[in-house]
Amino acid sequence: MHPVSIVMIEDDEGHARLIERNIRRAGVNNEIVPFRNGTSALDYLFGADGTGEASARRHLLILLDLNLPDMTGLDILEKVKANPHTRRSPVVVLTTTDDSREIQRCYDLGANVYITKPVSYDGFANAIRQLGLFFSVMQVPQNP
Amino acid sequence: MVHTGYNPALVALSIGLSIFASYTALDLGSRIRGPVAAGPRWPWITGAALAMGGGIWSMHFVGMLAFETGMPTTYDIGLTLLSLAIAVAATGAGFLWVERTGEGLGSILVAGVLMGLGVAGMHYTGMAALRIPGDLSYNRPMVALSVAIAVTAATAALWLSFHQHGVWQKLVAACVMGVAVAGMHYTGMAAATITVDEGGPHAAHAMTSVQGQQNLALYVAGATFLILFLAILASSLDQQRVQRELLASEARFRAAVQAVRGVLWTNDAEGRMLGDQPGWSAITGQTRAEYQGYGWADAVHPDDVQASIESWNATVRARQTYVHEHRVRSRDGSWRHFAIRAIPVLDARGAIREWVGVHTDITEQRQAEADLRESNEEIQRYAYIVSHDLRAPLVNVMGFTSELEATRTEIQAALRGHPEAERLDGDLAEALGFIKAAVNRMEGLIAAILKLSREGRRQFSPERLDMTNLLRDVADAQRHQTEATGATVTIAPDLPTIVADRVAVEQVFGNLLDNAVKYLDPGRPGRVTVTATAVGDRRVCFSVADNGRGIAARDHARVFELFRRSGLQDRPGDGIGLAHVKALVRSFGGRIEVRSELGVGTTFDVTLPRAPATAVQIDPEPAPIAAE
Repeated sequence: MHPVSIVMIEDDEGHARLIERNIRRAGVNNEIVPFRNGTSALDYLFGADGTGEASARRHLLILLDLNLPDMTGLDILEKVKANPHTRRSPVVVLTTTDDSREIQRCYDLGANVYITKPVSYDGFANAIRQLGLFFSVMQVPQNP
Repeated sequence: MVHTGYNPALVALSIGLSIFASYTALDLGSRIRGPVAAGPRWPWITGAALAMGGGIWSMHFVGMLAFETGMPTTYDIGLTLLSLAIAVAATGAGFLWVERTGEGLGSILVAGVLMGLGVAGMHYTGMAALRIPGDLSYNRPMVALSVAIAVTAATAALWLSFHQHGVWQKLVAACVMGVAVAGMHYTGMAAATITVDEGGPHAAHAMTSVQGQQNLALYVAGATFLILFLAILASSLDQQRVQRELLASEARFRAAVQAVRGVLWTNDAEGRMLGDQPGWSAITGQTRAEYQGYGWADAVHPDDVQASIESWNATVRARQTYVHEHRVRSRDGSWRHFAIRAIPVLDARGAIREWVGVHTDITEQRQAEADLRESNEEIQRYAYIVSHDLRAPLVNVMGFTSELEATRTEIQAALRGHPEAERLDGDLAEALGFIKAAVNRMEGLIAAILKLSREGRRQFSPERLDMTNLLRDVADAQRHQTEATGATVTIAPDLPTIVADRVAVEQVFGNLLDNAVKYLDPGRPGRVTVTATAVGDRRVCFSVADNGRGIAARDHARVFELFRRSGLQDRPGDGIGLAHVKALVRSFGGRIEVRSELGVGTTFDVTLPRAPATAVQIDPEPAPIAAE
């Protein structure tokens, strides 16, 4: 079975660390590729030529924060779901925003899951651990 | 058959009288159709009837005196006065008829016949008053001719009374009419033939009689001239008054236009701009040729033209006041925002004669409103972003605090047996406890700011709300708290109906009732009442009153501030409720005030509009400006 890479686009280093710890605690040992800003994440996903050829035949699961320093996560979501090489990759939006319009917009753009980061640590840790458990059973298709 | 003749001087006097009387009647007659504002019409009708009827009569009488029969002539007083009365009554009836039925040709013809027959009646009654030693007979065709002249002259007089303008026209008309009236008289005289039984014996007496007749003619003429002169004087004084009022009204109008900083324009009934429009030229820079007809629409913003035309057509159909807003290209090429208000000017038959409108420049106002809206939105966005950005580090603080707690257990294990182990663990536990409590508090505050910022952005959907039912439902929802404290909540059964957003109104009064029950005085049974009073036509003040612990005067403003609370802090709460209530009340155009005395009770007065304010106000009736 082809290994699934988890692309984590999260500008807050602390959040990234907490997410990684809790995913690992759920027993998920897949490679996690972290990005601190949108530009570097887009480079990875679509390659230097921007065609998305770089992600062809990869198995990717994208964890996406909406509040990024150089762009909004919505821009990345839109590009991922519009590109033929990346549109099958599941995108999990994990952000602090719980505004209903923001949530609607993400699902309209093709987000697969939208999760609001709970502030209480137990809630947060619990949510990420369950997300990890979810990852361990979900099927991620190969990109065309 | 007696040889008769005329005294030329008296004939001239009689014609002069006739012309002067005609002029006076025309002058007074024009007052009848004067502006409504000039006062009642009946004095002018009476005056015109007296001048015209009396003038014609005295012309006739002087004419009679000019008639020399060479015989002793006397007059029957009764018949002479009757002839005067007939003249005045007939002319009065004629003027009244026209005044009542309008100035159309048909109505003038009827009145003319009425008046002409009256004049003829006066003449022949006057002739019948003649006491001479002889027989009076008439040539029928000549009589008919005199009556025809009388009717024609009267009709012409009436027509001129109601249709002439200006002094010269009036003078010419008076001359024509005066001569016509005199012509009728002398035609009537020509129709008469006097036959005497015996001549001669009275010749000597006749001479003195002629002298007496001349004197009488002068008295009558003098008196008539005096009366006519006074009538003209009265008329000219009135004219001056009307002119003064007209000038004052024009000046007031101009001042009013300047006072509203408006641009005045006039349109015909179809919306065409005609004539000189200095105001419009001044703002748009359009020349007369450019704005003429529908050319003015070229200065209106292309995006606004269609809406303006549709709204205009609807207004014309409904005969309402035109209220609209659109942008107009000003002289310097920039678009300025204008509020328009135009009033239809109706003619006597109620048809729209023209429109008088004012364009008021509201560019600055619109700009200020837009700025205010923008800055409000900015504050809301700001609150929203800040609260989100504050949340992100909070997740870290909380997350790593929990990680530390996990580490703490490991430290406990590692330090087992160490003498300082218990103290170290205690310090760690205390520090972690404070951090967690602080983070939880901070989380609560951020959630509150978020909630407020969201309320500000919420779209209201106004609906008709029966406030008695709504408030009973709100009170029922809190029944268990109310019963737990033993308090009674009374909602007045006659609260009015308002149009507003149900959820928002429920939140406002839910909060107020909740507070009232929450902060009761344990020393006495709680009573909470909700009543309403009308504030003007458009607003209602709802008062939520309790007999609770009250709020100190220095805290009256503070209770509406976010996160602020007042008095004894013995009840759970986060200091959001009233800030939220105030934001809600303000967002639908209302206001909230508190009246309270410590230890006595608190009343919150919520003043709400009966219905949400609408941009356009429709006047139900067209402005009753009658034109002549």
